[in-house]
Amino acid sequence: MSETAFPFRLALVLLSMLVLQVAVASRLRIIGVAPDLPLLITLAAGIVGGRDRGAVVGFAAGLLFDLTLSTPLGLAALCYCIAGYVVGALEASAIRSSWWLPVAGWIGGSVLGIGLFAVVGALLGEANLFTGDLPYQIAIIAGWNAILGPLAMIVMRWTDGTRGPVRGVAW
Amino acid sequence: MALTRRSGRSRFTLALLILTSVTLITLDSRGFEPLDMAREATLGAIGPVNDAAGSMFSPIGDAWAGAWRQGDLEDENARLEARIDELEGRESMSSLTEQALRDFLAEADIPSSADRETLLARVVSGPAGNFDETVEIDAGSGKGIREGMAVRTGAGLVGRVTRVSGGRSVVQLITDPDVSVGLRFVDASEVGTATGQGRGRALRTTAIEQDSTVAVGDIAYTTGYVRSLFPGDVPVGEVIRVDDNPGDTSKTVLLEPLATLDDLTFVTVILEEPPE
Repeated sequence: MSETAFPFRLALVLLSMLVLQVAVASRLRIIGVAPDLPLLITLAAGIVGGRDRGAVVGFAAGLLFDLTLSTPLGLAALCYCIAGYVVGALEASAIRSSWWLPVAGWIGGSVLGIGLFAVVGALLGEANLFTGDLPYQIAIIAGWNAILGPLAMIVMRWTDGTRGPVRGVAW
Repeated sequence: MALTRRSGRSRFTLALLILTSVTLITLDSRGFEPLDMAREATLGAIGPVNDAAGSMFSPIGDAWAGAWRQGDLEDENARLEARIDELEGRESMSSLTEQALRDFLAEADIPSSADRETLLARVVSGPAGNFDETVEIDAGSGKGIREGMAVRTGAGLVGRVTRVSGGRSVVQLITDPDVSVGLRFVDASEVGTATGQGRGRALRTTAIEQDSTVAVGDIAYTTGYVRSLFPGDVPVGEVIRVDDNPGDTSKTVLLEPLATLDDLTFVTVILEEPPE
């Protein structure tokens, strides 16, 4: 049952995420930096569902995000796909679940996702991505992701159809 | 073993997704029509929801922003009151000059910038992400807006329209590094080109001759379609710094935009399509 329901649940989650990002998240800025819900969902997918799930959700969420942005279309899809894959792979390869693992996932994943976006974007000629503001932009986005992470994980577990904590990830 | 087989398939999936993303980026850079249409469709589809959310969340958004800026608001208030006094003084003096100019232009049959057709629009939201310098307005092709049209407030130039759907448009601000504005300075009759440097930062104007008399406080206006994609005679910014660059052939001038780009509520779209 969960296998066939997954695409529909995922589509619902992604569309809701997009609307929430444009309508709500973009208005909640700290020093001009807003939460990045597509990246949040991507990292949650990687942590909960592994690297394949992280890559696919990252691509889909990033692509939907790209449709609302002025940066090259495909840039967020590319960077979030990679971030989702890496975070999923790291979480899966951890022999022992440690308390810092999910936190490292949120923070490391945010640094990777946004960092890649800025670097690749700059290589593509987008001039205002790689600025002196980038470190604190990443810090605020990582902070938001760490705080909203548990909620995002609950949502991703719902799309999976799994119940209960996955592999001792307690927070 | 099953594990290596699965990790092989995993890497194949990743490679496929990366390839697809790069293909999309390449197509987008070439201006592939279906991608533009997809963006416009998204803009049109999310528009109404964004509006509804905007009216619901505006008070929360304002309270949120206010919580981070309490001290700033009082300073800003004082500064604005002083500015209003100054402007009211200037207004009475300039209205005489303005009337004389209009009479003269009418007699000589020259169209003035005051004759342009314009449309008032409301700013419904800022950018969706963290790296765009855009705002979204509640008017689109249905009201005659086309890509490339200039947007301003009463104070000065805001930017130009980059994406249009039926009822919504996206405006790229002049602080975006991709935007260049051809300028002339009133007091010095110099010309230059200003480029944005990102949110909240001054515009950087280069190619000002070393012997020019541009000074702090001078106002810059758009030159018109000869030098840039913007219509002429729109105020752009005030000079806040002049770097002489000794040994160089030109000066660098920093301009602070006259329009308050971080607090836009209503803007005016100049309904003129720039020449190709």
